[in-house]
Amino acid sequence: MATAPNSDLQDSRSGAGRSGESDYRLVTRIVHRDEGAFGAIYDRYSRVVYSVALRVVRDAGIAEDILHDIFLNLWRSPQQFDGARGKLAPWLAVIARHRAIDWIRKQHPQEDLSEVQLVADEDLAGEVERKSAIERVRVALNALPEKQRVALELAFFQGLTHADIAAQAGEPLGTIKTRIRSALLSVRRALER
Amino acid sequence: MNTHEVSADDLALFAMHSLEPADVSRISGHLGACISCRTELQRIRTDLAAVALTTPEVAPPPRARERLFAEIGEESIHQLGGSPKPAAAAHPRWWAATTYTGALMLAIAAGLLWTENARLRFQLTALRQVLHQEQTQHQQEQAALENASHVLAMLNSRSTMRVRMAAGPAKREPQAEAIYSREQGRLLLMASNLRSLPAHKAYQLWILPMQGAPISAGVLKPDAKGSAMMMCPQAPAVEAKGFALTVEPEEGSPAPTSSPVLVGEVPS
Repeated sequence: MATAPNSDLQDSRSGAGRSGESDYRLVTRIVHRDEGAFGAIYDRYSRVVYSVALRVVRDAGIAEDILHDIFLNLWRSPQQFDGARGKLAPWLAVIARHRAIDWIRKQHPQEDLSEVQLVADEDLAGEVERKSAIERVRVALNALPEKQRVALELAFFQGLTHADIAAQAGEPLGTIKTRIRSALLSVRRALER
Repeated sequence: MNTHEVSADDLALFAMHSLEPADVSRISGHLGACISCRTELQRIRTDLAAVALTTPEVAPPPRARERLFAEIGEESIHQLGGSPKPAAAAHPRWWAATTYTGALMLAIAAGLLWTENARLRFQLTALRQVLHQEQTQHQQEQAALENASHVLAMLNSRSTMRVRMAAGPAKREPQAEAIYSREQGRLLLMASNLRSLPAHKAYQLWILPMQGAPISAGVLKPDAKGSAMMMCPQAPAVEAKGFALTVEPEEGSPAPTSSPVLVGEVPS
């Protein structure tokens, strides 16, 4: 969380972008209602949130609303971000995807932000490391067998349940589950490389 | 290694909100009691974040930023109690000056109080965070201690049987030891030199009862050196005549589908 008195976290390179100040420090300043810090976080990550939401909902207006809600939530409850749970970029990317899927399904948010916990992955923390890691993941996704890639795309970016995908593909549920899991294992191997 | 009713496949779908409500509540219940599944879930979410981050970046329109900052600006004004109303014109000048001075002092006092309030809220949040972290750490330590205590009790128990399973005498041959306590309902397997398996395959441990079909005790995957250890904390209490290890699909099979890689009989 932003308020955790951990100097390692404060001094880490996590998300230190062009302004040089780490995400952790900026979120701590947001707890003090510092609009300048909030603006820096917005400028750093609004593209990530907007792009993921847009990819899912395919509507610029809706993606803008999702972006607005997520950052307003971050302003109102910055303590929901825990530096020990994972870095801000991956966390926001997952939140953007979940909120966009909730919108597609016309559901209320399925989980509290504080419940979305990630492993703190150094490869996704700093801007330079993240770009390199994401490129590896992109290559791994492109190299996936077509059926695995499609199953992951349908489940993750289109919000279909595995039952929907199985019905659409005319294949057993277990096969779809295994394809999705295998695709994610390829992603993990790419991250760990 | 997975000895749960929750498979890694299900955890991936859970992380994506792609399961039916009945499965969601089943897995949520399991996650509350299983540290390894919670850890794996966090790892899967990180994998998913990496997938999300492969999305080519598109800049939001500038009006999105303006709209957001207009809203948080309004909220800040409301938190401060709004702008002061003008003083009534009917009063004499000295009264107006007094009113303005009073209003100024009140505004300063309000500002100081707001700052103090923000500071206290920040401290409270920090303390809650520390408390939460300590509670989580305490729970994890308790769980580890409890597990270690069970293992120790089982290893020290006279009634615990130890069965070594081996394919041959060579040093690098796969071998495993099954430690089973019927009365405690616990089964520990320690294996080494296991061959690496293709993706989607895992080793599955079977209890061979005196009567009836083999009973699954869970699936496991060895590490890069071929070593594996698995604790089955709720093993069925049966009279075992032996134990066996087979290669199965990673989600496990209801009955062995291949010849045992390792097998061991309980000494008579």
